[in-house]
Amino acid sequence: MAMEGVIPAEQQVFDPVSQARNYMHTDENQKDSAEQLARETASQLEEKNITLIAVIESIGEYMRDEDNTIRSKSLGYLAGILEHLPSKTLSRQQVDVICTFLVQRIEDGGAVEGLLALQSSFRFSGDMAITTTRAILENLQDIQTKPQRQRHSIIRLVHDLLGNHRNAIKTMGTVFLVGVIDLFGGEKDPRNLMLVFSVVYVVAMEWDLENHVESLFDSIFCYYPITFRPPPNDPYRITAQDLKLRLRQCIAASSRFGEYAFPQLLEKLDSGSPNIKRDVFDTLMACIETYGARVLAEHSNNLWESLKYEVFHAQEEDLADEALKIVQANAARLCTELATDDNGISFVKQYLDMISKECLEKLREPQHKQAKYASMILAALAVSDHRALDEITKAIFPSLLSLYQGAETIESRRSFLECFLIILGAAVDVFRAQPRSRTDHIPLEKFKDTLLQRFSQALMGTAPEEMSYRILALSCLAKLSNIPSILSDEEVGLAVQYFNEIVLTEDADGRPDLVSKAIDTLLELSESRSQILLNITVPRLLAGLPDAGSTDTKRYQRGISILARLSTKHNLSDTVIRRLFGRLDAALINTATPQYCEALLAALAYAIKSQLPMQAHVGENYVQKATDLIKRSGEVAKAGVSDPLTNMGVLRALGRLVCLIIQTASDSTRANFNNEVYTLFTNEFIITDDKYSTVIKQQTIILSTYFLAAINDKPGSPLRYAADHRPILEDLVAITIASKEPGIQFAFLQHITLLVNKFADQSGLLVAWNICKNIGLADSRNATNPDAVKVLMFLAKAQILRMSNTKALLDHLLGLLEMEDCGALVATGFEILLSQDEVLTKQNGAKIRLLSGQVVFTHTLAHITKAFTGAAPGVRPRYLIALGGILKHIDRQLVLSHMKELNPLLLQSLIVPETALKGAVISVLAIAISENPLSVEEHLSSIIAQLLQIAMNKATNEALLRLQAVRCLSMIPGKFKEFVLIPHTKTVDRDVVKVLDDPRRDVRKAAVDCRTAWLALDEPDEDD
Amino acid sequence: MESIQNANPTIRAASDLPTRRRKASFSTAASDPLGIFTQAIPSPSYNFDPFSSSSTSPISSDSDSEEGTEPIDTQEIYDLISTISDPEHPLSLGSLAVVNLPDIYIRPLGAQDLQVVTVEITPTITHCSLATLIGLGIRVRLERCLPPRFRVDVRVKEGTHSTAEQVTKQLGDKERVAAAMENQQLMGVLKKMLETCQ
Amino acid sequence: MANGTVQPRLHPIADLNPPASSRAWLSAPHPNLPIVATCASDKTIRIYSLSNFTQVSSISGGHKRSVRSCAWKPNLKGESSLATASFDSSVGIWRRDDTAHDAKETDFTTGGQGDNAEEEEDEEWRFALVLDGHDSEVKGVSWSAGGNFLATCSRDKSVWIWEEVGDDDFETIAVLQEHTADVKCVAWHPEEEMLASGSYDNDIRLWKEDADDWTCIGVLSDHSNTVWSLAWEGLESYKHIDSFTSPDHTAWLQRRQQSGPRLASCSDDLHIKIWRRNPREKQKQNPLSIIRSGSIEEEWVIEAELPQRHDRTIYAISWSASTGMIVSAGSDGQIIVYREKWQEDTLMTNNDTDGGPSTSVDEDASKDIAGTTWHVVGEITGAHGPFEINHVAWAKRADRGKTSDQEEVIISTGDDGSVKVWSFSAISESP
Repeated sequence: MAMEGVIPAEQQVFDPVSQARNYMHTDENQKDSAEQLARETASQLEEKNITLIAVIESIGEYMRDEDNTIRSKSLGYLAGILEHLPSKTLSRQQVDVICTFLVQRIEDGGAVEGLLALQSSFRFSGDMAITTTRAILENLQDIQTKPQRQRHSIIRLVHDLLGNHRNAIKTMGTVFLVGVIDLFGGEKDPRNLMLVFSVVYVVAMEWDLENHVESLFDSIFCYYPITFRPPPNDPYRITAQDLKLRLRQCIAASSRFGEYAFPQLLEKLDSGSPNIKRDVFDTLMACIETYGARVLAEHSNNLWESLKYEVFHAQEEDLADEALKIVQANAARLCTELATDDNGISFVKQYLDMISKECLEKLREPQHKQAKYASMILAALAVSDHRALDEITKAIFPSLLSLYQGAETIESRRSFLECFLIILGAAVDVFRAQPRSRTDHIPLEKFKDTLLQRFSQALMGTAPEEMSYRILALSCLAKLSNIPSILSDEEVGLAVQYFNEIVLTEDADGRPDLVSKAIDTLLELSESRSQILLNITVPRLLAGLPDAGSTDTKRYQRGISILARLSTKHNLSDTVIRRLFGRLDAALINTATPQYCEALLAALAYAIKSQLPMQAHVGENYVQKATDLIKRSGEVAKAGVSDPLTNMGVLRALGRLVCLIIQTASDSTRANFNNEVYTLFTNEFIITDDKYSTVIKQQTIILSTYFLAAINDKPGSPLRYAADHRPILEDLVAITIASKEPGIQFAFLQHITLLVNKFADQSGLLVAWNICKNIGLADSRNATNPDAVKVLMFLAKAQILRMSNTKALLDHLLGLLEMEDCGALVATGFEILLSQDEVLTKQNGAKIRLLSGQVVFTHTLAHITKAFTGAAPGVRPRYLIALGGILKHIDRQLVLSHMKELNPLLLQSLIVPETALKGAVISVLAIAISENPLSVEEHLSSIIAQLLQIAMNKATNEALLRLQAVRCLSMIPGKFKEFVLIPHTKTVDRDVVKVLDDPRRDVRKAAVDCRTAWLALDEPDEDD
Repeated sequence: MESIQNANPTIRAASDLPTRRRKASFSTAASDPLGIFTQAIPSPSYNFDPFSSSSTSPISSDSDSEEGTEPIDTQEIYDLISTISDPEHPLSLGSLAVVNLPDIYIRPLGAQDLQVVTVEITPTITHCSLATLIGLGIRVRLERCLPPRFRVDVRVKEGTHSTAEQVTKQLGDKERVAAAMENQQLMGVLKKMLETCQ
Repeated sequence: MANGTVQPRLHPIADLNPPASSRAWLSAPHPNLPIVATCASDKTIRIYSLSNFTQVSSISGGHKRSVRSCAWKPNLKGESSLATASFDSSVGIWRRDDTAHDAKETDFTTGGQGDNAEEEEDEEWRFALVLDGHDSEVKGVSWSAGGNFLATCSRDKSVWIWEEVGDDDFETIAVLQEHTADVKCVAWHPEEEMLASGSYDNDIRLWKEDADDWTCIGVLSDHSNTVWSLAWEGLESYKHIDSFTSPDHTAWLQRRQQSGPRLASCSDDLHIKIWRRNPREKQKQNPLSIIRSGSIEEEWVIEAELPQRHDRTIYAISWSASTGMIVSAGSDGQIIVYREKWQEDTLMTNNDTDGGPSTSVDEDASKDIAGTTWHVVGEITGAHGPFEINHVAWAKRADRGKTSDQEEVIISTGDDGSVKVWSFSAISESP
């Protein structure tokens, strides 16, 4: 058989018929293979191996079958093929053919899917879209009888057709409109509804609804308020929120819905459920945003009627706010289109008048809480737009003012002020958002005089103890003055004068709120009306300052501090600072009291510092001033005359100021200062033949210490003695130990420390180290001399901070603790090592290594833990004190990480008499308890016991300590598990009760809080 | 508290109430409302000297001397109870003028330093059934906060309440108060009232 | 204050140890054993030995709230039975076999046995039964002289009388509801089956069985505030009044026998009043007693008021059956001891001021019984430091320090949870 060989070759050829047969033979649970077959056919078509005709024919017989399911299946095959066919494959008329073909069979299952696939092909024409749509609307009205999947395809088809062939469909006009309403009627499936809603949305937006508005509206509003709980693992992930939003869009889609939407929505408000209310509010909001002013105008009355109820009788605050927002939004919307009714009265006006009228009614009962809401409503409206503001102003201010005047009690007047305040607040916002030129007509202008007068009267003319009332008045006045372009400068000036009086004369003890409020107002005004402050407030404050200073420190302190505060405002700063310098000169000339000069200097420093963020080199402007002051102080020191500048406090203040100025001056100026001023000063006073013969001369060390801090240790810094430290250091040490005046001695100590830490080179450090070694605590004369120990400690500090010889030094000091004579002193001195020092700071160029603190702590702790148990009973307290001194000044985290070693020592420390130590320990415990309770849990009982002892024992523990102890105790509850604490509750309560009788009030208060905290543990007792 | 008894009490603004608490927090700021002198002048560090015992706190200095003792006075009592919340309003008894500084009395009792504190309360309305509860709250608060040598009498001010005498007698009955304090449910309510105490 | 300055004859002997952790309400001395039962707000009853002042055992877990009061059943041999009244509105009956414990209580040498007492509790005290019925806090409990009746009173305004009809079996035989407010205390007459109750309604009521129906036979209303405690005079204690044989005195003695034991009451009104029954034959109208129809009505009159020394509520009084002295204590932390003295010329010094000796306020009464005045013979302030005293009671002294078998001590119970024992030195004052 020759031809036999050919047969297999023939079988390679794709056979649509058998393909179709195979497809038809697949059953329900072979969807994949079925789809696979469809895909193959599709690709065959695409590669033109077969023709579309062939395919159609291949299913011809099935499609003619009278069995519906067979027909559907065959169509499904076709649909499957189309789906996998790239949209370009089919020619125009092919598409046309299939379309007609499918449309004819549209009732058969599968046709719709087919069309779905087909219509996405871009050769699918508008006409086809229309035919298809028609077919659907005409033949598929029984849609609700079909299963969900089919319904979905149909609705999707309509949806997609509308999406892809909008214009064509639009030409169908009402037919489509009515058609879809019927088609979609009664749909329940969320997935389908999502499509329905978007179709309706488009229709509502783009169709001419003619007289079908209501039916269209009803077709979707019937779902409102929509509720839906998605099934556990819903593949479509449709949330109730999605549905809500789509539906909301629909309702808001067309102004024409307004006449139905508003009544029905507002009706829904009667429902008690807050959630429904919220949904309604959101929907109303959506409508207001899209509907036109005219529509809104028609419904504004009803809207207000229902919303006001929601506001005045709101069960939940947030609901009231929601309602407010809508009232406001409506106003804002009405303002955007200045639509008017036939009588030409703008809708806004009508709306606002109506509301204002009712709110005024409520305000007649100022005490009633509805009055508060009333003013909130008015404010909400006023803030929506400046037109609204104007209307409201016109509508209510007259009556409000007369009500206010008529009110009998302060209480009711207060509530009116509250109302004014809220509305003026709104005004400020509006005016700032929409600036008005002084030319346009502003109703508020009409009332400003009265308001100004009333508020002023309330503020200045009421009994001082009516605090809240006067504060309100002040706030109103503040708001009024802050409304741009309402008050003239003169009028604001008037208000400012009142504020001045208050900040200067009010009893700040009794009425701090009023005073600080006044100050804040002044500061706020300085932004917008700085000139007024410069013309009125600043002079007034300066005038309050004495020339020679006075014993009544309060008087000038207040003035000065307020000036300082004003000086922080950029546009006042320079003037204030210069004026203050002026006062300072005057004060010095009139040899004013040192306290006064000190205050001025402090204020100046504060003012200048506050400008640093704005201008890095602020100091530059005042270098001359600084230099003059230094010269002056130098001269008086030389002359030895008595002068404010010979007072140590003043010198320190001056030192700080100068230091600050120099450091914030330009580099050139700074260098210059280094060379001239400093050298001048040091030449004159430090290395003179009669070193520090007199106290006055000694005092100059204070200033020079600050200079030392100010200058930078660049190479070639003019430090005359920097070359060889030995003489100068030994000099200073000698003088320091000799010095009797603590203030001066401290300055010397600082000087030494700064010198060694900041300037000393290796040789210098060596000198320092040797001094430490040989300061001669060995010989008992020095050993018991605290001054020697101080020098030792400060020298050590200077080196330790820059981490030179740290460990060696520490070992040396720790060793001294054991020594009979000096041990106790050295122990106390340990606190110096890490204590903050005003002069020895990074910013002053001191060398402070990050790890120094940690090294000191760990090294000391390690040593003490070792030595403690072995130490003699007399020595132990010294170790604890030394440790306590360090604990005070190191990072809490560091402490926490060592609680294990610390605990036993801390507990020991609570027993020793030294107050300072106990204090330090308690604060460490407090930190541990609050930040890492576990670290102390095992010692809790002893800690509690010790704290109680300290708290109860008035005789041996001073108040502050008792206070610390009680506070620490009250931190404990809540930090530990109940079962840890319960065993202690009884004891704690028993003892804390005793503390309730402490002689000191603040201790008692702490005890009260402590007891409350602990009682709370007991409360949840057994049931009843 | 089924239905609110007095929906609209007159409210006194917190800033109008007499208290020592606010003063305390401001006393430094009095002359120096902005704390310039505490900020600008770092604590005069030449006073810092571990060797001089004077380097301790201001309050400790006179703590044990006589002038250091601050006896418990009516203001202190007021501060203890004025911040209790009213059971039906989110407001303090002070701001509702239920407790008022002038209506607090302290008198010595007998030989030792026993003291009697009398607090006269003014219910917001004359038939407020919560008067007893409020009184109880005050009594509990004071018994917890005052040393045992104080006897606490809470009474309803004459003419301010229809059943003033009954309420006062109840509040005076130690046994009843004790029993009340063992009633968890009641204590639950009291706890709420006392939570706001400062 | 003529005799305001009495040297305090009260001396602290000891604190019972350990004290209650919170407020202690009342301490009831055992009728014949040297022990005392203290009930406290910590829901516990502690039994202390009066020989060595330490706790011998404790009863807890029975009540859900404060145990306000307790009473020992009298006339028991070989066992003890304790009734406890609690704010949890229940009454508990507890039993214990004494024979095992006599040794312990009389043995002075054993020291603090607190610990082992703990262990013994369970087997020691048997919870016999709970008497339910009151609607709210039970505040007082008392056994009748014979021990067959138990009276309880509560905030529910009622007084209940229970009869013990068999072992651990009680029967309610009366619920008396005439009081118009809390009933604070109940006390049985020392011999008759007559009950007295004091109330928040300021009244004292007397109750008796009338044809097996308990009824109120007298309302004693003279206090102007809550009646906190009642105490009956001992059967013959009036004989202890130091006497001079005078016609008046013998006459007086006879009248006493006729009228029988008197009743003392203390109140929130700071007064302590002594009430006396007017003997039947010569009944006449008396404004101070409400006469009601019916045969068993009794007329009780105020015979005297004790000198007023307390500045605050008087919570407790106790009337010594052996010495006839009365002790009182209260919120002001004072303990005051009063003694009745024979006074020939009572008739003259009739209306005496408070603080001084005060006599019969009742003219008629004084006519037919002239003769006695009450004097403060001992007082101590701050007996429990700053704390209030809730209860005082006389008890036989049993510690080493006792001088005679008759000697009595005062037991005071305070808000601090402590129970203190006070000796009262023998009286020997010149008239």
